[in-house]
Amino acid sequence: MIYSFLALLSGVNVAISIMLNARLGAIKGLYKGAFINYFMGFCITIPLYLIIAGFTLPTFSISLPEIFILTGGSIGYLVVLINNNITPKIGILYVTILLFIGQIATGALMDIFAGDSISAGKLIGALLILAGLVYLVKVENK
Amino acid sequence: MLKYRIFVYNCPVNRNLAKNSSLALFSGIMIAVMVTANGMLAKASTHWVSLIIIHFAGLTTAGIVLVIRKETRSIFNGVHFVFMLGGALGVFTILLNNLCVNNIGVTLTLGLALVGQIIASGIAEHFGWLGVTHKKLSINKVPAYILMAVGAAVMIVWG
Repeated sequence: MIYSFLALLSGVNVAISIMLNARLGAIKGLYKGAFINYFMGFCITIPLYLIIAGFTLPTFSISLPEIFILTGGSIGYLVVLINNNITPKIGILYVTILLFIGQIATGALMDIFAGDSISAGKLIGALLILAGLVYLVKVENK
Repeated sequence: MLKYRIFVYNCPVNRNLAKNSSLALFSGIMIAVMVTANGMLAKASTHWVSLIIIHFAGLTTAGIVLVIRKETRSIFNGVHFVFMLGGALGVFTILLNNLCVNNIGVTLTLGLALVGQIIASGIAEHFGWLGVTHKKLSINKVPAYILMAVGAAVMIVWG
């Protein structure tokens, strides 16, 4: 239950960052805006690490097939570029609906590969959210 | 303060609709891959180390693109500090996602995050916060929000 709340909070966080980054992109352009975004994030993570973990060097090991897990940041950058490119062309709600379908379908596959089962509740809930999004598009386009 | 529209709901030109729609789908797939990768990284190292690696990877990629495009001059000039804070908030988004993915799975995390995002954008539009164009919530949008809230509740309770 607490993690469900945290996931909702993460979405609220995303909404606020999108508003701030849209303003940043309008002033500095797409590419500089995205750079500033990651630069600010990076500047926060170092002191955060030092406060939590102290002055110790991190050690961890990953196996060779797992090397792709280091690329999450680069994938995030790619996603921002694509989204900012297509949103003015086809509209934020269409983008959100298609993003949602892609995310949930792939997420469900990932969960299955990770060994978790996909419950009927998750699927029905996702379809209800999708229905709400489609309804919102209908109202907006009227 | 300059008012601008972030949320372009209507779609004036359906230019390359098929191409842009496939790009949007691809982007969604990449988000799920990214969230999974970040979650695995947080598990393999620690939450705090993974945040550094993720942002370092993004910063390097963004820096390389700037160098290729020869846009390396005056990167930080003329921007109010407040609007740079999006990146700082992004750190906590990734931290929350990593926490959730390893506990409730990718589907539930992404589904609930989307509902939180839509509701927060709706509230910001209604009150005109953060420079977003003021746009009062119309009554015919309420069923859409109710549907999404019910969907989120179903996911939480029976997920």
